[in-house]
Amino acid sequence: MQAHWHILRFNAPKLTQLSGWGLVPAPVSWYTHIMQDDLNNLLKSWKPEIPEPTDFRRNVWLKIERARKPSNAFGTFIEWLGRPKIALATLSAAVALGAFVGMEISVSSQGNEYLRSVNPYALNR
Amino acid sequence: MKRGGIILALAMIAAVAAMAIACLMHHKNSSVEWLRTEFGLNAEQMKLAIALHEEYRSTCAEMCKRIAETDARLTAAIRTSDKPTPEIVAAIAETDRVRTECRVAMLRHFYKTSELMPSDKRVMYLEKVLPLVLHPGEMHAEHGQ
Repeated sequence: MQAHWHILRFNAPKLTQLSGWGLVPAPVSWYTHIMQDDLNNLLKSWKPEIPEPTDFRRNVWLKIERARKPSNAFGTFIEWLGRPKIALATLSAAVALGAFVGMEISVSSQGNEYLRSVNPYALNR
Repeated sequence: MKRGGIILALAMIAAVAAMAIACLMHHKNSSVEWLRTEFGLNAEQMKLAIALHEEYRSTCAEMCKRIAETDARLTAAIRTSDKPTPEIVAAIAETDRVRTECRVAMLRHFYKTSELMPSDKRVMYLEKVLPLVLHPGEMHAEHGQ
């Protein structure tokens, strides 16, 4: 209905002008006829750009799936770490590894300390 | 994905914390404890090792003092002369003599300590400490860093 009024508003000045010059008779039925033709032409020429509903849905889901999937090996690894059992195992392994490395560092530094403590040259300087 | 990242971060924090705790726990022990951790000495052997170590430490401190004194004498003699005088030559010989005594005392101590260990550990221990006798100055530079 709004489109209808738009066409009327658009074409009315031209028609009024033509009829005012006496070139064109302007009965009300003629206006209605012209308006219907314009609207039909306009509707025929209008092609919706929105995709088909099935394609649209499929594309949306495809985009969501792509966003969910990790893009590289690191992403896959990070996602794998998120699993509860793997997460628990990872944390346990990290604590064990940290404790082992800490003890190794400590033993090594203790060894150096011992060697310094028995070396008069080291005590001297 | 987000949870995996949090787990990875937590794992790293846990590893660093465990490492720090392990370091601190071991660091409280004295340097002689290295003989227990590295060479597996039992309580009795450790008691003897600690006694030997304490006895040697007083000798080591005395030798350290003598090295410092002879070095100071040599330095003073060199600075007050413009050629190698007999006093300087004697001072050099004295520093060498004191250092030789130190090396012999060190070696004696290492052999005594190694006697507390089983044969395989004894070899390992001597492998670790003998460079001190062979190149004491270099070992100092290494450990001084």
